[in-house]
Amino acid sequence: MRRIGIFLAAALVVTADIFVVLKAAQNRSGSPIATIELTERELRLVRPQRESTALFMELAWEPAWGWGRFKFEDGPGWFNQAKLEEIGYDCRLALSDPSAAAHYRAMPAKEAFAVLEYSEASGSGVGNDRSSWSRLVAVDAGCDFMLLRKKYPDTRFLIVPSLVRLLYTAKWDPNTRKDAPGAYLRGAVVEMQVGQVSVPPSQRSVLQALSQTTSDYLETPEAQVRGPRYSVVLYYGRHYEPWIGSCRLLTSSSIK
Amino acid sequence: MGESVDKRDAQQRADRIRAFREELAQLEDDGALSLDAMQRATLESHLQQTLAELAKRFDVDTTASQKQISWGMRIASTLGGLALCAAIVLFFQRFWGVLGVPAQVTVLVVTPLVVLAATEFAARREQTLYYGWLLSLVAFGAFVLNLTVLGSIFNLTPSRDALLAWGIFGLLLAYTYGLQLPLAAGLICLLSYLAAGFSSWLGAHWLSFPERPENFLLGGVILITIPGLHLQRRYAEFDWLYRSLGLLTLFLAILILSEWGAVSYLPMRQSTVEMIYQVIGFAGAGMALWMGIRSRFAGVANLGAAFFTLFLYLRFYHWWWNWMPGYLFFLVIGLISVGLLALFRKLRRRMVGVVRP
Repeated sequence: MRRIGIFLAAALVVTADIFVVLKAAQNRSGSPIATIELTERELRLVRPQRESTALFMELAWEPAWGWGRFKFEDGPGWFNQAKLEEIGYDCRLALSDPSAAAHYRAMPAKEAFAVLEYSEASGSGVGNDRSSWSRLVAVDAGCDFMLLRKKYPDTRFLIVPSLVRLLYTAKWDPNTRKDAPGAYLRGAVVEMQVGQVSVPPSQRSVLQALSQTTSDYLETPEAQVRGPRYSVVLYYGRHYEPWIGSCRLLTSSSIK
Repeated sequence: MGESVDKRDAQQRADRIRAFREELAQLEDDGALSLDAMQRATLESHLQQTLAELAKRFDVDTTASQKQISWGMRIASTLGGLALCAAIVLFFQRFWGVLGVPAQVTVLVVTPLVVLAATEFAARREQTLYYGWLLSLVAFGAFVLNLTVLGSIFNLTPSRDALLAWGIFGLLLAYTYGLQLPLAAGLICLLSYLAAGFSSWLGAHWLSFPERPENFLLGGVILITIPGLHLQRRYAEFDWLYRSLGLLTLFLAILILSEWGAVSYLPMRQSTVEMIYQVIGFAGAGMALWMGIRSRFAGVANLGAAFFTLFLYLRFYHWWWNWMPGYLFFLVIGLISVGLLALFRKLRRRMVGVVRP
């Protein structure tokens, strides 16, 4: 058993690795299904650990997800109960039911394609609070990629696999600045299935000059004046998995 | 540490000889038994010869101090294995940036293979498998790093199939060398794989599997059932791990559901779900306690007793905490603990002579 076991373990390692590499090659074969150029606002430079030399970029979109993020909004917007039901959430329990809050808050995340619209004008105005916000805005979600592509054929719409979550949100009264009676259901795009994109060695030299990660940079006064420091061409392949095509540094004058 | 059945039997015999010698000395001190010089010499020579043979063939611990040192070595090899895993991860992160993709992939593929070869080399050199134990842990860690980082390099969607690969790898290491730590790691990966499959099948994302404890119930039942099927007689020393891990999984899932019914798949009111799982929890823990005593599985009996007590105290908290003064609540809990102590003591007397873990 000993010799067979060790050979089987080695074979398992090699087989799994071949499978991973083939899957990656298949994703990148043929023409990409989407190509988009984004700036540092949308693809944020991150370093996993202090000692790490690896570079990653994290996709950022609006509305950014965080617990309590939607507390002060007055309605669900496009991600309403009907959209949640379309994605597969069972919303039959009446919101007035005493167990509704616990029932809905325990619902797990589901997979769906998120439609992110890249609008350079949104949040515009260098110097204001929103100037560092991502220009990628979630505008729709669904289970069928082809249907969504048909509905949003323009290249400014990025359709990516994501995780969505049902949120049971208490109504908010802006006058009293307190929770109002009642609640509503809304959805949120909480995570991209591939949220971090590895910077390939060929493009690392472009970003080598940047000493700060995006979160550190955005806290500096320079960020308010200068805006994003780089732009990236991002491709999505046959399995909806991204990779970085090229990076270039931006000068203040090249920022829109 | 896992050993083959022969090694386990050899260690048990060495322990019996040690106990026999101690008892013999005590009997002679008490004047209950007296051996003449000839008998003593023959007996001592036989025991020495047996112990020497056991030590030579199986490298067993023949004295109490040897046994203590062995435990220290086991702990040291576990900590060493974990430290080496951390070293490999941090080393790779440190130099990731200076390597091209082909070099990154080569390093990732070669590392677990080299550590596997080192494990085999160590296992052939020593019967106690201290180095084998350490290296098997590093091999498992290297394979986890391998698939995780390959996925990151190529920006692949996380897949639950990685859990299946890690689980099988852990089991292969465990059954090849008779090691229990890779077995535990492998079984946890396979449990998670099964739970993730349920989560996915029921419409949620597979990574949400920890949010619904019912996803783990089938896996727990399967683990408990395996030792009863007697499929692995050569690896009987693994049985307690299957039983303990299975029971722990079941009891933890039931405990969460008995406290928070909203995370159940059952189409019932939250309070009804909680009540159902409270009943199941008490019945299951009581049954585990009874079965453990009856079948002389000390681990099963201990887990049953621990969870029975936990379920009971949680009920007391829910029933009394809000309306009872704090001092009275703790007084009642203290008195009940004394009662439970008396009960468990009675049960303990019935467990005298437990031989199986």
